[in-house]
This record gives sequence, structure tokens and C-alpha cells, in this order.
Amino acid sequence: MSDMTAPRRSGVLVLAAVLGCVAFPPVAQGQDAGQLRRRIALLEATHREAMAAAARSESLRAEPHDSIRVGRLTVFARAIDDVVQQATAAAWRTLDSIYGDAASGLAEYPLTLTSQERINQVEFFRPLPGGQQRIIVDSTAEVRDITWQLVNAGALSIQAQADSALKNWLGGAPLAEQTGLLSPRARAYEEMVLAPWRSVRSCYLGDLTWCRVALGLAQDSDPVRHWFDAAERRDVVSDLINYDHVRRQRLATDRCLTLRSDEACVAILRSLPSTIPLPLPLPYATRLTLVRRAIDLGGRDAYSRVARGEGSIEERLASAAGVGADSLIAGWRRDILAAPPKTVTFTAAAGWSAVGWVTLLALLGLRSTRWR
Amino acid sequence: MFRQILYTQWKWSRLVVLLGVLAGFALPLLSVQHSAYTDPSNWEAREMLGQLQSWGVLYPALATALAVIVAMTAWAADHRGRHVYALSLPLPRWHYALLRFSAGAILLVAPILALWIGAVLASATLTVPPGLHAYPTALAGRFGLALLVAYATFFAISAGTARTAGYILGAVVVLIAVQLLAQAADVHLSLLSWLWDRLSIWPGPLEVFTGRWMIIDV
Repeated sequence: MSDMTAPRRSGVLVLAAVLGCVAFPPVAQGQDAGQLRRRIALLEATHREAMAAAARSESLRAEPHDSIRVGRLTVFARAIDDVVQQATAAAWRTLDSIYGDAASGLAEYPLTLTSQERINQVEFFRPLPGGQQRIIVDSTAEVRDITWQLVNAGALSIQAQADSALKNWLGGAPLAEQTGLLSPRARAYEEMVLAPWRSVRSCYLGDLTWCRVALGLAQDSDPVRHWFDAAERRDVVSDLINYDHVRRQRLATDRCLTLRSDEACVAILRSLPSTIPLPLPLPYATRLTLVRRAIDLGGRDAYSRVARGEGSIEERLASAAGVGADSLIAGWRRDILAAPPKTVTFTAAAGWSAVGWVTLLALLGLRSTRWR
Repeated sequence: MFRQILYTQWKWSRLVVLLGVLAGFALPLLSVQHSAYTDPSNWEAREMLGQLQSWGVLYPALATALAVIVAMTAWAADHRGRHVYALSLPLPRWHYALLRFSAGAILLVAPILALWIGAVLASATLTVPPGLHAYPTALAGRFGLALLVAYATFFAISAGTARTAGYILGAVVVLIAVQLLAQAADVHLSLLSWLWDRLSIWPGPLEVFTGRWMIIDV
């Protein structure tokens, strides 16, 4: 017991007191239902406190104590090595560049790096002290992996402070996207080219009104009718046919798909529960590219203006960017169309580079050590 | 002299080259076999791209396999005969190696052409959905460059002594071992990742192998 920490000891004492009260209750005192409920409530509260104290002390024992702070980003880890230092600095730079002043809110949400190898199921669910958020990393993780994890967690923490309209419109996706094989704008380009919806096709061809519809910016209370035309609604119902909810409406689905009744299709799509979301004309990831453009144009305080929650999403984005909504959307469209993914084609530089390597390697072959 | 060397190398590697021609011709055609829509919708276009992408990995794989075999075959007889034939020729060493390299490179033109013809035919049989484009020539061009880079690499390795090849192999093994040891010791070291980035990002030699090898793309 000598090495037991103070919080842990107090937790154990409280727990013992609770158990003592339960095991040896005061005798021969009548109690009515109200008193009993109060005592039960008291016992439950004491039990919760005891459990929280035990969890805190256990966390202090098992969780890392070393920490690093860059800007307003605080990271706890078992050991702060070069990799964690570099990752924290890079993550803060990224978050600060996107969220500007809003990134200062991160001070209240420290992040804790826990090694994948150290975590088990019990530890995974153990609460961390002081609002810390746990990030599980592999011991072989490189700077860019940890950076991405920190940026992702930090971005979600910041975005969680926005109003529900913005959060719903972004679908919970972080603005700081990981750069994978395709850049966000290249993915958006693919969506623009391949999306089967009239709204996206029209946006691709330059109609900004349809761009608003495709991006979910238009103030419509009836997306089923506004996002899709009759044929597209049939396609959507056809795609959703494997869901029980849709299959159970056999009469309506027959009328929609076989008799091509648009009213039946509309009725089915309007009846969808929240667990079966209506497909978006353009996915959330594409919406993020519009917000990023607004932030790029608007400067440091741009995200705060978007998140402030005054006006529609379109108005907020225009205000953040400091330009008119039409100008913002037209610029976004130009950006996307200028960023197609890298296809099998190659640049002259890449071609000459390959020729240069062939020549160099051939020369090495000619100078082989054989015969010497 | 060059004709004789070309002829002997053709004799040694004709089976591989012919198989390469066949594979190069068939690969683009096979990759579009399930994409023959008369009027593809955007859903079908998306499906088509998915299918083409899954076939894409076979182009660099074919280029590498062909390059390895043709490069090894070019030197196999010399290695077996301990280079007596080559030493008996009135040629400097670099000239002889150049003839060998050129003969192998010329033989590899056939699979490149076959792939180009296959790709042109494959894209002609398809209705390319709006917004997408066919890239038969770019595909064949990239295949050709990848094939030649891989061929030059393996030719250079094969032209060296067994000791040189051993050094190269040993260096790779050492790199992997150091990486594994670092991982075991919980030391953050990303040697292989760093090396891969240097090799595969322009102007690295393997840059030509990266990207989307798709005959139809956005």
C-alpha cells in the first residue's frame, strides 16, 4: 500500500465506506420510500465518485506523464521523442493554418498518444483525466502518421464547437484531410465527372445554381425533389432496394420501379429513416473543398466566421471568404476542374527523367566489373 | 556483328518475348471485357473505372517480369561460358555490352507495340462515357518507359559480377534488417519509407511505375 497514490487511496476508502454502509446498515429505523430513494441516490453518487477516483488514479499510474505544447496544442505521451515533437509541431502548423484563431480552443482538449501495443480493451474504455482525448498509435508510426492523427483529432475537437447546421452540412468530416493517393480536389474532380446526378452534371457544365444544389447549399426543404429528377429518384430507390425498410414497402416500390410512378418514388424516399441517408449529389468530402477555398481566401479568421452560425451556410462561407457567393462557388468550380487526378499520361519531365535513368543504368551496365 | 547478337538473343528469349507480346496485346482487351456498355450511365462509368483500376497493377508487373527475364537471358550464356566467347571477339568490353543491351531493348519493342495495338483496339470497342477519356497511346508509352527502366536496371545488375549482385542484394537485406531491428527496439526509423519516396517520386527512377495505369480515365 505504500506506493498507492493519494487519489487511489481516497477512492478505495470511499468505496470501503460505501460497502460498509451497505453491509451494516443502521438498524431499527423506519424509512419511507422517499428516504430510501434518497439513500439509494446518495449511494449511487458515492459509488460514481469512488469509481471516478479509482479511474483517475489508475490513469495517472498507467498513462504517460510527459507532455509537449506547441501553440495551443498539448500532447501527452509516455515519452516525448523527436518524432512526437516533430509531429506535434507539424500538426499545430496545419491546424493553425486552417482554423486560425479558432484553433486556440484546442487548449481545452489535450491529446494523449497511447501506443497500440500498450492498449488493451480495459484501457481503451478508461476515461482520461482533464478532458484529454486518446489517440492510439502504432510504435512504428512515422512523423506523418502521428501528425495526421493529431490533426484529425484536433480538427474534430475544434469543429465540435461549431453549430449543428455546419456540423450536419459537413457530415462530421474534418476540414484537415489526409492527403492520400488522390488530393481532395482530385477526388472532387472525379465526383464531378462521374456523379450520376443532373445537378452535378449541370454544375460541371458551369451552372452555379445547380452547383448550389449539388453542394447542398440551396435552401430547400425538399431535397428528394430538388436534388434528383424523376429518373434519378427511381435509380436511388433501385439502389436502396436491399434495405428492409424499402423492401417492405412492396406496393410502393413496384409502383415506383415497374409502373414508374414518381409519386411512389418520392413517398419511399421521404419515408427513409435517418439510418438510411439519402445519397448526396456531391459527398461531404467535396463540400470540404469549398470550405477550404473560403478559408484560403478569407485568411486567418475565416473559419471563425464560418462557425459563428450567422446566416445560411452559403452566406457564412461567402462572409468567411470575403467575396460574393457566386464568386466563391465559381472559383471553387474552376479550382476543381483544374485539378484532375493524375492519369496514365506523363509529363515531358517524367518522360525525360525515365530516359535519363535508362541511359545512366545502361552506362553502368557498359562499365560492368566483369572481365576485369 | 549486331545482327548475330540480336539473332542469338532472339533465339534465347523468343519464348518470353512472344509471351510478352501476347500478354501485352491481351491485357488491355481483357481489362475492358466487362465494360462494353452501349450507352454507359454514370453508375456504369464508375463501375468501369473500378474494374480498370483493378487490372492496372498488371501493366507494371508485366513490364518488370519481361525486363527481368530478357535482361537475365542476355547475359546467361556469357555467364555460363565464363565470357570466353566475348573475350575472343575483337571488341572492347563496353562495345560488346552495348550490343547486348541494344539487342535486348530492340526485342522489347515488340511487347510495347503489341500493348499499344491492344490498347487502341480495346478503346475502339468501348463507348467512352462523357467526362472520361481513352489513353491507349499514353498507356503504351508509360509501359514502354517502365519496361526500359526496369530492363536497364536488371541489365546493369546482371552485367556485373556475382559479387556485385551480392552487394546489391546484401544492401537491400541490411536495410530491411536495420528497419526491423529499429522497430523491435521501438526506435522511430523509416529507412525503407524514405528510400521508397526517393525512388518513386520524381525524378526517381521508379516514378514511371506509379500512378493510375488505366486505359480509360477521367
